[in-house]
Amino acid sequence: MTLHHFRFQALGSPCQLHLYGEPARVRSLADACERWVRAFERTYSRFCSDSLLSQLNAAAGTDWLCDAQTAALIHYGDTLWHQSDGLFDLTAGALARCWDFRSGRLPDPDRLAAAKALCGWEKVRWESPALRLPEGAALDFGGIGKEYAVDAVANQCREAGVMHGLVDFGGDIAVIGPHPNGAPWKIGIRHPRAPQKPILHLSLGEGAIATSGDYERFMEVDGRRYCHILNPKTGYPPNYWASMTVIAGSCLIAGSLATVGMLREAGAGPWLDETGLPWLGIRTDLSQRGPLADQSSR
Amino acid sequence: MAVTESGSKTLLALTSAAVALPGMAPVARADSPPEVTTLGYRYSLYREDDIEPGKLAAGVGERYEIDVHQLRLTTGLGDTWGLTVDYQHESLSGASPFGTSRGVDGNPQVVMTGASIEELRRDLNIGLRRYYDYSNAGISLGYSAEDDYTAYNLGADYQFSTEDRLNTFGLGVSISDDTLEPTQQSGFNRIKKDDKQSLTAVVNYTRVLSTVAQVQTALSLSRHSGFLSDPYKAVDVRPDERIAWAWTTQYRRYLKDWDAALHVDYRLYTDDWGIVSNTFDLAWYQNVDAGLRVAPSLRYYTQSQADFYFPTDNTTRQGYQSSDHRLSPFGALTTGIRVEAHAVNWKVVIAAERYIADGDLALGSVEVEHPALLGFSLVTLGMDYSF
Repeated sequence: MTLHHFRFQALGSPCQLHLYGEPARVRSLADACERWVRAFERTYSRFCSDSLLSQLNAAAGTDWLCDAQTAALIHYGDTLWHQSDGLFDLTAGALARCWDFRSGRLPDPDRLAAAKALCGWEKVRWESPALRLPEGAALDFGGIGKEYAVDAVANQCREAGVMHGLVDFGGDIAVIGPHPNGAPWKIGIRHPRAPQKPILHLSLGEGAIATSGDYERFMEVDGRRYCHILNPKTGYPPNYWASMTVIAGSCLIAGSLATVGMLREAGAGPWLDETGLPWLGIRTDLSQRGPLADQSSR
Repeated sequence: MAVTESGSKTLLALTSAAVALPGMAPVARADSPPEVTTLGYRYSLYREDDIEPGKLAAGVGERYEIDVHQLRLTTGLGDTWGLTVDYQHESLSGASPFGTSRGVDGNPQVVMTGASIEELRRDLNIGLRRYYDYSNAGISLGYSAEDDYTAYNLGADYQFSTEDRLNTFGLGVSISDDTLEPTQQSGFNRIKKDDKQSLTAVVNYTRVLSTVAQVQTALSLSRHSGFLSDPYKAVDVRPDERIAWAWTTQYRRYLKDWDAALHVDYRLYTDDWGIVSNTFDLAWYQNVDAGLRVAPSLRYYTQSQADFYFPTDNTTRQGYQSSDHRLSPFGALTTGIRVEAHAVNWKVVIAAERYIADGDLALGSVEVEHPALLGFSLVTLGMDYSF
């Protein structure tokens, strides 16, 4: 069995499929996966005005009946909102629009305050499958959409009979199965200050891994780094971890916990420890924390 | 890195919300016909051990040698049908036990048929299966011919799964109609022609216990009727009906730490001729490499004798009687090894088996061991090609 690699750009990330199998079969499977991802992206794109998500957001103020997939995504976001004490919020997208990371300037406080007033999952009426967003509010599946897509694609590959492979969408990874000889995949965790360089390698034979970092989109103002992950309660980015990596059974959960871990700042350690999942936090001074930390770097 | 998930409230809540998403849990596919066409070939050499000289009263001690060529084709016909064609060609030579007589030490000795025979057997089986979302139904038709034997068989079965595919139930029936026309030889008073029929019904249940374990259990009931004796034996008078039950249970478990699969099988068989047999099978399928698998196996078999089995033939005895070693009490051990090497569309199989039957291997004590208990070696070489 030989390993085949497929690459495409979607969901704002380089998407890669590494699949073992017969060339023609894995090629057509990879094509089908890419089509699924593109359709998923079209459905939930904030930037495309005729996407389902844009239509749903345009209907804010009225009741919207969600289809099964959208309802399940919202239900997941609702659960994560509760479990994160409100740090993950599906309506936090309005805050992101106040931040222009290319400008090198902090957002205007009045504008940020106005955006904050529009956010807040507690203001949304969610009686699945009926959703009523407050007027002016908007949903955004950032933080869970791509992660879910990784899991869904990995499962499509398993269903098509691929037993050995890996799905990697911009560092959010689900293992389909180990290499055919049973060897785990070697996964490099990005160095937060040199993202092309791995800071350490982890072995993963099953499950999923996701990393949330302050290096994806950021700016520095007066020597302080402001990244794209925003705390819906303050409207500002957290400033404690440079990156957070979590290993879980699914990429969706790994990614959710990594993002909430970033937002929980100093409280992330005990909260993640309680889940029992392996995690790695890299502080802004590059020291490592958590069960996966390289012992020598503490 | 193992993913050890705790009973954390957060994790449980997120997990249950996550699995509600479409495509988050791998959904088993609908029952479907084979997606590729596979051509398989097996060549087997079956060699029975010679009768020990001390146990041979008359004739030659060389027993059967059989060379078997098997061809198999499996393919899908459209999206809903699957076809399997099996063809087997056997060439057999050697002699078989004609009967037993009392030796000077009082123990039975084997009388072998005088000359070595040469025989051909051809066997063709065609199976057609229709696949539905949660079930499949198959029919099969078979024809087998030897110089002195013709058999037709017909089978049908239906398998269906629950929606979660954790449970599969199956029902099957098969019938066969065999005609015997023994080769005549002067001095032997053989029947000219006779026939026998069989009807078998099977129910089976498979349960997926976890992602790495499953168990299957099956119960079968067979009725054989007609001429069930061996026309080539000196004295062989058997009832013209045989009702047999068999209960089979198979357990399969994949062991992740070893990258190996354990197969444990048990079979209990009983019939109204008085035979009860137990079979225990153990096999260990070890993945050595991405394309190499080695499977050692061990089988233990033990059976009690038929009610009308007699170690020594007696032409003056009345009623049902047979000195066939297959109806005698014995135990047997089979050791085997199987090596499978596969690439993307090729598979090569090499397997070897050694079988030894012995009175001492039986679960109960065997007073008089049959002198013609079998020992054989079986070597199989094979290749599958998929396209």
